[in-house]
Amino acid sequence: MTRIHPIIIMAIVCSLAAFSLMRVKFSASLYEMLPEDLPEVQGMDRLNRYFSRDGQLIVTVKAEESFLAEEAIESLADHFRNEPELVAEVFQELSISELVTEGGGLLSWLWMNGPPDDLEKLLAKLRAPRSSEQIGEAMASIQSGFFDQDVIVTSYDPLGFSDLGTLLGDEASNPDSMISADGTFQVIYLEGAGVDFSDYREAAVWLKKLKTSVRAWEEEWKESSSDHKKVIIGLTGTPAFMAEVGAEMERDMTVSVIMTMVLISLLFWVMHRRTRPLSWLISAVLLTLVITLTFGGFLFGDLSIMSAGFAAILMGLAVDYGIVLYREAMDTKGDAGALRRSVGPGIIWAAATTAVVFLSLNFSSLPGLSEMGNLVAIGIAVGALVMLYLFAPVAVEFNKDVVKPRGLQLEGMGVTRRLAGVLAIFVPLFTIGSMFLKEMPGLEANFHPFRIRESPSMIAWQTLQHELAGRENSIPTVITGKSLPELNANIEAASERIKAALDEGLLTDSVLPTSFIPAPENQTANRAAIRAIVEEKPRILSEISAVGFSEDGAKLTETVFDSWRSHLEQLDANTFAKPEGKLAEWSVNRLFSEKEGVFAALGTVKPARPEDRTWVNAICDENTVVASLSSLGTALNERIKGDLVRVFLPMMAMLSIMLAIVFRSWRDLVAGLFCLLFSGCLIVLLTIWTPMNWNSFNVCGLPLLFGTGLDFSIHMIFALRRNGGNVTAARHGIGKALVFCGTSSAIGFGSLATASAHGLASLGIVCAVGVLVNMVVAVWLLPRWWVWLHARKASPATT
Amino acid sequence: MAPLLPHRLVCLALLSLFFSPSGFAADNLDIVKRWLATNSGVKSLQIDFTQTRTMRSLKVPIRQTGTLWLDHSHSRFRWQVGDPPQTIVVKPHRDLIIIRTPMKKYEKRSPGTGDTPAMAALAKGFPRTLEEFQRKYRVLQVEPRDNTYRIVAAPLGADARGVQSFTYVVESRHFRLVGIEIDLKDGSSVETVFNKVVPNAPVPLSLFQPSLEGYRETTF
Repeated sequence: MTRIHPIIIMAIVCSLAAFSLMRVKFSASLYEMLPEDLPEVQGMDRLNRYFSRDGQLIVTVKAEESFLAEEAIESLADHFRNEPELVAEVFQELSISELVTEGGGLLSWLWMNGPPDDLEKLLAKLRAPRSSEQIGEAMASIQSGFFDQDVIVTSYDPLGFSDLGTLLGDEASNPDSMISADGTFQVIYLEGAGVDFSDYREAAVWLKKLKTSVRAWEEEWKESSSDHKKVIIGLTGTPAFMAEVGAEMERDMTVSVIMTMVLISLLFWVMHRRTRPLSWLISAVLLTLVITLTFGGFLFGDLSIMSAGFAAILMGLAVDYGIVLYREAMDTKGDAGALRRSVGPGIIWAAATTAVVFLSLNFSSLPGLSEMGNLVAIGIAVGALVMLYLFAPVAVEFNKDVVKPRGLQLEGMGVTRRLAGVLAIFVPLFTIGSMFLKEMPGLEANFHPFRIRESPSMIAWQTLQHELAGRENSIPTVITGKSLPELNANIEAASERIKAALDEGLLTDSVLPTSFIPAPENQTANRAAIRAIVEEKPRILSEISAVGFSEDGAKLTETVFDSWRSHLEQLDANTFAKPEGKLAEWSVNRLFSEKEGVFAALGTVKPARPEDRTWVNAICDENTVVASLSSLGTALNERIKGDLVRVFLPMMAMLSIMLAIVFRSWRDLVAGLFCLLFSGCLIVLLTIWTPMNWNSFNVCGLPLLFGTGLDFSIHMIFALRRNGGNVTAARHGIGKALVFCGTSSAIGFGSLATASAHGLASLGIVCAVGVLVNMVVAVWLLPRWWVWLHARKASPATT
Repeated sequence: MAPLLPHRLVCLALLSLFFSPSGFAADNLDIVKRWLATNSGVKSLQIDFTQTRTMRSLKVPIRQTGTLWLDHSHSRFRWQVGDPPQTIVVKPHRDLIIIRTPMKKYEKRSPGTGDTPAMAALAKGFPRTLEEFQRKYRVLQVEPRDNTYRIVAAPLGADARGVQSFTYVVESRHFRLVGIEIDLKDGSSVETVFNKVVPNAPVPLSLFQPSLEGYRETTF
């Protein structure tokens, strides 16, 4: 039979793994990983579904002086207008001239959409002879008035169309400005062109081209004038977030897989001073990854950000079984079948208990964790089978001629029976004492597990919220309904609850877009009166001209009448008229949406204490939800605390039963469980006395730590049984394997410390530290406790 | 020809010094400083003016006469147009009061609400030092015209919104301010010509506290 070189095997498997990884598609929707019954999660989902514009990028400009910011934004807007392959449209704050021409469409719609009583007050000013008096009074106030804002507005609007009074409601106090109060911070909105923005990869490519374009503009800007000092450009909005999140997830997956492989390879060489078996081992691990990804893709479709971490965890765990087989193959002078009979039960039971632990994450409130747990459980089962049936013969082959153990040799490290006994009593007592002396570590408040670290688009977004008046601490509030009347009724109900919350001091401010929601009944009621007044347009324009207003001064009035005529035509054909014109569409579409048979309205609330959920419970119901990250952290902490009871306790019970079945010895059961308790105490001590702390995400690593801790206990106890309680033999045999397993798992988890998502990074650190603790306890302390429990006579080698 | 070359070179060198950017800037600031120096020692001003507003929205400009009182010591001002006054704007303390006498109505405004650049400029008073001036304005150019210097400046900060430029017109002999022009971005402009300026005029408190008896508070 032709022997195939291991490098060729590895190359084939690596290619398969790379191909599988490339086919993996990530979902950049972070809220799909969160409990969907939380109003905060529903809020983020609905905000994205009904009001997010996938292709709308926000460009921010910050300068030292307002004139610089203004020049820069004009220049940048012109620059983007000359890039039609990248940018379809540019939206910026309108000048007064543009407001005059564009504002008429919005004003006419707001009047038509408003209550008939309010419209009648306006129409009374437009009918003869009142209209000429109104226009005359306007001119008198312009002539005698101070040169203030009122005079300027009146000069373009002599009939007072822009005097919306109570019609505009809350929105009047919260204009959606694109310029900060001091003018040094300005924004423009870009509608992207040429790509499918729902695909994060295409969004990333588009964003990269746009950034290149921005850099080119920055160079031109600096060279064009000595006055042109540096301006700070920020890019934020949906395309930026999508591109960033998707790209970071792919990077995390790639970095964690590669880093884990490299470090594990290094570790193997340090421990065994051989590389040939390593290539087979890596091939087996990669094959496990390929099979699991294939299954995962069929079962779950797009994988979530959490799954970016599963690959590293799986590799760290699957390699353990290969190492155990390799170590035992040195002592088992037989064939693969003999090796499987010797160490197979330990591996099978270890895989089963670990898989149970990961499957228990299905009880977690976080759907993302459930998906990760299922993937790892599948991977562990596949890994155990791959190692037992594909790697075992390789392990036997490489060790058949080995006489002396090679590589690193383990020593006792001074852990005597006495020291192990003292530690067994002292550490739990010290832990209890520490919990009373210092505060028991709780879950970190305001922790956002899926927030990307060092996110430029998030920094730009936060700067925007801070700079533009009124936006800081404003929480988007989405109200929905299955029809317009239902939406209006739900807005009314939400308004009552919000008012009560304001009275109680739970909220400090709120804005509901009532004026911008189409009101078919108002429009129908106003139709006849507007139809009559539009016939008066020539007379009114003539009066305006006669008093001394120019064509520019009459433009707004003319636009209002023309828009009314257009709205009437719409009403004749539909149940309600929609606003027309760029400004009108822009203003209304940001606050009202009709999509997929659902009508949605967007308002904002400002809670007095954002992280406290009392205000959320006070104002939310199934039709009113809030996209609040502050209270989401609190909600997740509450859920996780519940999960600890709901998941952890049943899991411990199941594990205890499984251990009892595995060991069939109460002494071994006590040793295994005490090992877990001791490891738990050490981890608690670390969180009390070091900067390491718990949050709603890494606390979900507790089951993982107990699962891997059990793995090590099972292997060590089985080895001690095989060796008749010979601690030295057990340590030199399985102990070395466990050191490798623990270190490799720590490497796998530890590689997540570089992950872009906060939650994943903190999970990686806690699990890496926890696995190392489990390993040290299993290799150096458990053998002493086991011997003490069984009270066997020790051979001279155990002292 | 050769002996003329050095002479020409010297002339060119001198001319280039005179017309160098740094030379220009120094001249501009010198004129600004000399104007600002006329404000020092002046605790109050009474200015009779003629104001012409050219607005894009109107066919013909509006011309009106009025009087302005400035009390620098207490940051007060009173502006009124017409005889008898049709509109009076006073700032006795922080708030602004706008009074329309024919309508018998008045409005109180907090600082920064509904202000225009003109109002903001008056409310804060004219700059008294170069440092203060440079905090508020960026000098675009200084243009001599008809026995005056026109200091064209762009306002900085929040006052810049909607404003193309402020032009302070100072007479070339004594560098006293004789007018202000404001150009807005929409193409409108306000030209205020000072007909009479009385420095350190008496400005009793009662000037800035007109009687509101019989007037109704409103929002214009």
